[in-house]
Amino acid sequence: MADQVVSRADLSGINSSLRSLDHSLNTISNNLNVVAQQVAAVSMQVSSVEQQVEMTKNDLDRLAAEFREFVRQDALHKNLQLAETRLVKIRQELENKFGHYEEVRRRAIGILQAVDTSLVRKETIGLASEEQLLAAPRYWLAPCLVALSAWLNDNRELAERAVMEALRRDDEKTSLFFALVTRRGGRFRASSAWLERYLGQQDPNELKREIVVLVDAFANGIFGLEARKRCGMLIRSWLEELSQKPGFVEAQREQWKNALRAKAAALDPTKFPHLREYSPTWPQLQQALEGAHLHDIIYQYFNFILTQDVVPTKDLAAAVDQLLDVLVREFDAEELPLRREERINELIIQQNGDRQAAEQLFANERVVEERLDFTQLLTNFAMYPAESKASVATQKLAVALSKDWILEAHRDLTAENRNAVPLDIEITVDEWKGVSRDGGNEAELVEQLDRHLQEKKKEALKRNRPGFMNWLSLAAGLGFLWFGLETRFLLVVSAICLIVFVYGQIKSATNKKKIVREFAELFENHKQILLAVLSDIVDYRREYEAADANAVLIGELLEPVTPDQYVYSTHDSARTVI
Amino acid sequence: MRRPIIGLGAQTNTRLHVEPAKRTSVGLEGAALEMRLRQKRSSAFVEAMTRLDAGGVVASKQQVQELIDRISAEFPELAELQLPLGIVSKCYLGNPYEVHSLDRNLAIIEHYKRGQSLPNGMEKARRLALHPGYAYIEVYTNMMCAVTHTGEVSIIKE
Repeated sequence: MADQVVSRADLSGINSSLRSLDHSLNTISNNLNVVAQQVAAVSMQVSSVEQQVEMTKNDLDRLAAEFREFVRQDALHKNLQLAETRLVKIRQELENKFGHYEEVRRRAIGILQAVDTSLVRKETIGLASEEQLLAAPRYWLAPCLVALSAWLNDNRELAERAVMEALRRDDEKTSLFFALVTRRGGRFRASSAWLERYLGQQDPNELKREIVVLVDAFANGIFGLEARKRCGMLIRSWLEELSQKPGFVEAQREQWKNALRAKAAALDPTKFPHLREYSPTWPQLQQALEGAHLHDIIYQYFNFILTQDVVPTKDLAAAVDQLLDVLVREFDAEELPLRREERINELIIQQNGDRQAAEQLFANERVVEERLDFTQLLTNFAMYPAESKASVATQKLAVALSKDWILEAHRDLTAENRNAVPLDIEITVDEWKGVSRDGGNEAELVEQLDRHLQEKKKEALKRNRPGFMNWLSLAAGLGFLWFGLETRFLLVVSAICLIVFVYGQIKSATNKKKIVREFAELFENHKQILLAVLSDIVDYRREYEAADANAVLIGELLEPVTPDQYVYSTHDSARTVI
Repeated sequence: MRRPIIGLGAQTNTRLHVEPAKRTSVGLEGAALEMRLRQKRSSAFVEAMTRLDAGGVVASKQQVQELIDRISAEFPELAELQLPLGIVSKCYLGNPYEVHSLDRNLAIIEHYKRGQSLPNGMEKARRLALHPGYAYIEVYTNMMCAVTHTGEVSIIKE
């Protein structure tokens, strides 16, 4: 066997190459560390950007809500300003168009008072009246003044001609005017005749607004005994006649329901803040509570009317003068379109610029109408005394005459309101939904909330697990390491893959801690919200119950009321029975 | 037929097959009908309607028929179809029962637990039946009459 000589290999080149490779690997490793750090920094920046985007979205939502509110407030403000401007304009127009009637109106009362004191010569009165007739053509009161002065001057022929002219211009107002004037002068027969003439023209289905003067005269005891009896019988017969009409009672009830509803006041916006924010049931709850508070408002309103003192006028003449003043000043049909405009603008101002609400109120109250049925007038006297020019005595009488309808309307309103109170109150906090009836199921809801958040947490953790790519990079890293022992390039690739894997693991572990911490905070936060909402529910139910209990007060107040109680006999001692 | 072992209905009812007595009266209509329904209920009737659970969870056939007869007697002017579909009132049998109903057509008294719906359009009366201000609720096809302990009636139309 031949000896083989193996020459000693020179490995210095390989050693040198390996050292160089080792050095290069160290450099790459260092570089990859730097890259990893930079990737981590970028990741943090991305998280930060995500947070900022979320915050920006929230800000944008809030801004949109604020903007919408601003637009609404701006529209209300503009409506309010417009209504105020229009109101001034309408009143100016009333003054311009009908201002010259004012002089006639003042003189009507002036003449009567001048005669009382005998300070003015009859010729002067006659002259002044004739001047007014020239100044106010078509106006019914001007010939009334001429008739009045002719009557004082014992000029029968002129008086009759003037009365005929006044009756031609406005029969109803002239008749009522002279019924009151003759009553003031103690001419009972003449007063009765004028009153009969006036009453004969009245249809309870279509009464003019000035009927309030008659009802006022009746309620305040201005007419004599005979006339009061006549009015009492008339009112009774009107009510009976109207009650026979099909659908009358229903219409009456509906009319009163609208009038009572119009007294509702909006709930204090600072009350039940959590329930407002976190319960989709809140709109129904709010409406129901406002409806329950209405009982006390209605009770206070009627109680005030019925217990208010009727201040008697010093004598009959003063009482009649007051009525004459109302008669000549408030009910001229020519002014009606402008009076309507005036009223609707007043309501817009009252509703702080909410035109829709004002129009709804205007449609319901029907105060400024040329002709109305007697019961609608009674509703207006009771609920809108200022607009319908009703005195305190008339208000009391109107409430007493309408009490059955008021009670029925209130009973129905109460039942409707009680039927509208939600039994179960929904609570929504983010995506979680719960239901509570009285706020007593706290433990159950907290458990439900916890379960919901645990589910969400589980899902978030699942999403956070290292994904397929991460495990692929591990496999690739190990594979390249095995094959890369002889190839420098594959070693580098292997190192990159392993670093990607390690980074993924570290990131997942960091995120897991973050998710757990965030869900713990979220639970605590949601739990606090839930407890606050439940506390609001308890307070709400308590407040509703207390407000709802006031419903019985209205029955207790109105049941014993009778119309006879509120017909005053200030100027004679007889008692009237309706 | 197999007998169910689990999932037995929690409600307990008594189904009776009683033919209602024939009425010959001509019913009122529209406003006249509403006016009649608004009239105060007699105190004996209110008392009877508030005691639907007097016979306990299961009412006897005779008790149910007596109550149905009382409804007919309370509204002699109404035609058969104008009588209430049923009566709903608060149940005093205690937890878990919340309300109970007297179904006039089926001639049964049933007690319902919280969350359990009343059938035949009577669910709409649950809220008012639970209100302490009302003794019981009469359910009609298109409205409800809420009756107080003194017999006063409020009407809620649909």
